[in-house]
Amino acid sequence: MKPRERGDLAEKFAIEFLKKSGYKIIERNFNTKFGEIDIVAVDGKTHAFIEVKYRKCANHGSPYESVNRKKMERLKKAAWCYIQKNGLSDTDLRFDIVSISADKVELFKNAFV
Amino acid sequence: MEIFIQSPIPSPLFSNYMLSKILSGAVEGIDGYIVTVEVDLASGFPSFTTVGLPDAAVKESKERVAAAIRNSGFDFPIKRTTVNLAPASIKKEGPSFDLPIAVGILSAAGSLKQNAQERLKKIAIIGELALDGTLRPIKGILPIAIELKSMEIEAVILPSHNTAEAAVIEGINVYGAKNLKETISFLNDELEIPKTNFDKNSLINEFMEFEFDFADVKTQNFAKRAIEVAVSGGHNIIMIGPPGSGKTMLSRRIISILPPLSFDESIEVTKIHSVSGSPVKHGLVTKRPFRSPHHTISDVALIGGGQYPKPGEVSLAHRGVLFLDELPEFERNVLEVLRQPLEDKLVTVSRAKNSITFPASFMFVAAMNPCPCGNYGHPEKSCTCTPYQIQKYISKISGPLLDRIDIHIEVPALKSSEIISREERPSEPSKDVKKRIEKARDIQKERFKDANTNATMNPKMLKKHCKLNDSCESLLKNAIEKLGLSARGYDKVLKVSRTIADLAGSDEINTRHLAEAIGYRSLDKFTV
Repeated sequence: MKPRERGDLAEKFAIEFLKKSGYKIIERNFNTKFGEIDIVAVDGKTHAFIEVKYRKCANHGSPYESVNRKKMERLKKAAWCYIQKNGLSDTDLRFDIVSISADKVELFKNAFV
Repeated sequence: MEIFIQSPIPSPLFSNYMLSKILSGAVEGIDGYIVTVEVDLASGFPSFTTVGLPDAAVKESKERVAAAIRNSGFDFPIKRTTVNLAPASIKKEGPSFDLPIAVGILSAAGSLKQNAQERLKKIAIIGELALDGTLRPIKGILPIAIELKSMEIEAVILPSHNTAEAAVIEGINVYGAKNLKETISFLNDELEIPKTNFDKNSLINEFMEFEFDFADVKTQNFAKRAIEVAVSGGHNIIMIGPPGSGKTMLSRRIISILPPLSFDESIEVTKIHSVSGSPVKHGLVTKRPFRSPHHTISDVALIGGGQYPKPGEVSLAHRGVLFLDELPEFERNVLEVLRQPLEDKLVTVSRAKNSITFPASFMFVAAMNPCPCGNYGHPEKSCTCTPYQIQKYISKISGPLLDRIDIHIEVPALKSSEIISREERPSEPSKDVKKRIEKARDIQKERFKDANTNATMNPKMLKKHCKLNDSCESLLKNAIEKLGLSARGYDKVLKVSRTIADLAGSDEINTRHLAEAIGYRSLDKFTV
């Protein structure tokens, strides 16, 4: 399986998981010149920008650990593009991470600011 | 040109108003001022900003506040949070804004009921938070409580450890909370917290007990008499004598004969101790302070200072005694900074950001050896110092400083026979001495109608209350010529003789009183 396909599979899995958790999915794979936002969803009144991370085994650490400072900055810039485009400047916003490994799925609400 | 006006009306999407104002207080110098903690919760990416000149401890409070809110069972709002500490022109320091910020956030987030929001307009909140939401005691409660009362704020919520101190101020309701949750329940009227009341009578027993007593000191009656005179009139005193002659022993017992603090004086003293963070038992300082800093003390530690000026030893000794043992061992610059407080009874500490005046009305007590080896003038041992060494040692105390000390006495070493002898007649206990002193102080209170003592008389008062007859005048003239007294020294002799007359219960100063006062200027001839 190619990496891209593997990622898609993880994202589909994450979407099912989020829907079950009460999120409403409004956008997938939003592309900007800064990078890609995997999922944009609405949780209650808050728009959440969701990054999906998948790792088969924990030998290299948990999946969520790979969201580092650089990745966060990239996501923030991409999120601003989305906000501009959709006029969300007066809305509650946050970043979530869905971390998928072989044996568990974890959802981090408001994972970073 | 487009103009954007942000409407204060909440948008229909969000039902609750996202702004809150909490009254709080802080201390600058030794005076409190009101701080309004404003919290705004806005939409957007979550963030937390504190403005209003916060220092590091105030900025850090966001971590404590967030943890405390979560650990108290509330939700920390995922919002763009802005905290403003008004007035924004004064630098804020310390962790005492934790609780008002936390309450402000919860109020803006809608955790408080409508009537609680109304109550908050009349209640001030102060306290440091632990991560689990419990409250920690803070410094400087008394000056803040005084300011809150003068601004007609009805009540204050404090960490329960601090309530005794604030309750001293009448006319403001003091509630002690243990943690954040209690505070919120109290504001929501779900929990009753009893008002802390202050019982003036509970303090009276405190006055009486002292560790040391003058009855422990053998002989040295001349020194005891001089100390009695010094305490009666609030005069500064220096004791010179060889090691082991009892200088330190005598000084430590001065506190047992000091007249009790009046209630207003107690508040003055407590204010200073509260700001400096020294523990205050039962809410008020009831004993006159006795401060004896080590001779390695720095000038700043002695007179006060720091980036945010804090009171030094001279202010902590306000209305009490500052005792400097081994006076020549202190750094020269440290001793010289004593000049202003000794003369003006206050110190002004100026820093780049502000300048603050602290009260420093203390009785100065010093002790020193007559020479480096200590045996100069000893009846049985011989001194091994050269005259040059002795001169050098004595000259460490500058003339201007010595001039400001009213009473100089020599405390001679005890002879071997005196040390061993069992006295048939026990020494006079402190409480008897204290009675005489209180009588002399009462005469002074009658005379000046305030907290002044003979030592603080100004020239006008001096002229009015220290009239001399002819025989006294000729005696004093003689003394000035022989001792080379300065103008200030002359004033000091008059003041001391006034105190001696007061102790004797005499309205007029006669030659006996004056002669005793002149006898207390022994160092003047030493140095000249």
